[in-house]
This record gives sequence, structure tokens and C-alpha cells, in this order.
Amino acid sequence: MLTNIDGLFSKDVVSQLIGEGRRLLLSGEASLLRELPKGSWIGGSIPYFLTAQGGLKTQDKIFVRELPSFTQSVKVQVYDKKTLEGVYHDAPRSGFSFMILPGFSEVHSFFALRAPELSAFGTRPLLGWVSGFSLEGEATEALVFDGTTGSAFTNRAVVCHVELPVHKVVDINIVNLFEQGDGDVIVFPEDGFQITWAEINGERCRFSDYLLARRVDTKLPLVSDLQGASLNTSFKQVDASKGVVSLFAPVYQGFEYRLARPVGDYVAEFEKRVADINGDELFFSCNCVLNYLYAGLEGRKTGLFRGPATFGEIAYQLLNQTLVYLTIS
Amino acid sequence: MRIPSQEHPGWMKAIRGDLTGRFEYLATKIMVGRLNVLYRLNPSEDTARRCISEIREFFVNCPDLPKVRHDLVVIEGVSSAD
Repeated sequence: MLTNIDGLFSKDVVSQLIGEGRRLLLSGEASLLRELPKGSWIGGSIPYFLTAQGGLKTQDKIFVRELPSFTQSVKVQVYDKKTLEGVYHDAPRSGFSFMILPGFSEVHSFFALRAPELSAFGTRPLLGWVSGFSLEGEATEALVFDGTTGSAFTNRAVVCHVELPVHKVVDINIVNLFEQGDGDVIVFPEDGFQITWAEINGERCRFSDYLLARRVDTKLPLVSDLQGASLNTSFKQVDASKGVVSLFAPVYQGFEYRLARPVGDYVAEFEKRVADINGDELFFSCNCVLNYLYAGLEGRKTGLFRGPATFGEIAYQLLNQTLVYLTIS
Repeated sequence: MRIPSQEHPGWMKAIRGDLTGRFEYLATKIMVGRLNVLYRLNPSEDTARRCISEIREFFVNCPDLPKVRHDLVVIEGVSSAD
């Protein structure tokens, strides 16, 4: 694995690493990140992790990923929904950009809806994740942190632009165990997180009625197929009384979705899918907290794919129920 | 990387979703998949022109990576007779 330091550490150890001038990507409980000293780091709030010991929820430790030793330069920038348009233009010619968005914020919604239309979309590797909070007890605010200034944000994207030597090949990829099932073709009349109407095989109907009448298992996402890439949109809530279906990522007008085919044992299927990936080239991965919860990943190992279990994954655009990873060769 | 001209027929095949090869670079898949939908919803000459301009600009600005080169071959491999 392409990192010197990788795993869960106490706040004191992370403070020491920052003091040594190490360049870090952090994830952990907001109260811990708030107490860290200024330095070359960015972070986001989340208490769920996939670790070498298996899936784990902890509010006492911080997950650390140190940037590779051959990193040439690092530039941390904070974006709102207006400045986000320039994120690809700020990216280094060689390297990647690592973004953390605060969950359920305006900038999160903006990126989710408009990422594919950003200027120079996809012309530099852009990955990252969406911050969150414990799903037990009362919901708190999702935060992101710019460690270079010691600032925390609830409605800004923090991005670490990482410049690497020109001969390094960076690649972002996904592992999505879900694929389109054989069922109905579902098309939505407009983009959005909140859905009332849909066309099912060409016939307009109230989407919540459709889901409830068929007793659809909403742990399975909607899946679109973009040139062979299966991209998920996860269900958040089906409100029968209001006739509204809420989603964790937006659906897009005109895209053809199908409900996902059920997956057997997540870990067993996952191991089959990642068997050919070269762990020596792996730098970062994050997986969805819904996979963590629905697939019962607490205490179960997912090999070298360790990192935060997040409220959304970013591989150029927002994804759900998907593992995103970055390799450097 | 040498990028085919705007007139190359492969761009139009890509926009229509008619290419036989498969893309490897994730950003290409997402971008072309979105343009396929845009063109399907409004298959006019103007839409085609805008989509081709967008996808070509994408490749002009992409880093010179093996997967990007592969994707260009997928597009360029289409002859005008196809």
C-alpha cells in the first residue's frame, strides 16, 4: 500500500504526526478533529471505518492516511457552490484532487446535482467522500476541516490538490456490487433528491405508490448504466402520506434506472471482485456507510480496502453504496 | 495525444451510444453516458455539435494516461464507412 501511515490513531498520536509536518487525510469524530493543531491536513467527520481488524464504529480514534512520500506539492482550497465550478482548473497537471463535502449541506446538494457539468469535468482525477455523523441518537452536523487554517465548515467543500511526479499514473475506480436487475425501466422527469413522479416502462405514476405496491426492498439502490459503469442512487425514505421518495443522491432526468439485483454475501462477492486489484498500488479507498450497515460489515474485513465508511462517495461525481479507490503506479 | 478532428465520425457514434468498443477510464464513461442521454432527449444537429465539442474538449484536456489513450482508440477506430 502506497502510504507510510494508515489506520486508526489516538488524537494525541495524530497531533504528533501533524507536528512532524506529515501531510495527512483524516476522518473521525468532529470533536477530535476540532482539537488537532494546524498543519498540512484536511479531514471530515465520520465515526464509521473499515480497518485492518474489520468494520468498526469508534468516536475515540481518527483514521489517518498519509500522502505518499513522493508527493511534490499540496494545496488545500475551500470551495462554496459558486467557486466549485473551478475545481478542475485548480487541480495539478499531474496528481489528483481529494475532496470532502459536508453531508446534507447546500454544497453537497450542488455537487451532487451539477458535478458532471462542472467546467473541465473529469480532466483531472477527483475523488473523495461525504462527511457525516453517528446514526444512533440525535443527528448532529456533518463537518469538514481545513487543517492548514484550523477551520471547520458545515457548508464548504475542502479539497486537497496533490501534485505527483509526471511519470506517476493515477487512476480512480469503483467497486460496485450492484448491477441493474431485469425489472422495469424507471425514468424521472427531472433531476432531484425528492421524487414524486416517475415513468415506469413509459407509464407515468407516483413513484412511492410503485415502490409500496411492489414491496420493493429499498436497501437495494436504483442503478443506472453509463457506458458500462453501474452507478447507484440509494433510497433514504419513502413517505407514503406525502407521496415523496427521498434519495441519498439525485436521479437525473432522462437517465434509465432499474432496481438493483440482490447481492448474496457482500464480503464474499466483494473478495471476488477485488481479487485482481494490485494492493501495492492502492493509496486510498472509502466505502458507503449503507454498505457498512446493510451488509453487516461491522467486525468483518474487506482486505486492503480500508478507510472511512461514508455518507457518499466521490469519483468525479457523487455515488452511493459504492467503494471508491485510487491507485498510483 | 493526437485528438481526432471535430468531423471524425467516431464522435457522433460515441454521442449516439453506437460504439462497439468499451471505455476504460471512469470519467469517460460518466461523461459519454450523460451525453448519450442529452442527445437521446433532443437528437438535433445543434445538440450533436455541442456534445461533440464537449467530449472532444474533454480529451484535449485529459492527462496522457493509458486508459485515456485506450478510450481514444475506441472512438478513433470507427471509420467513416461505419
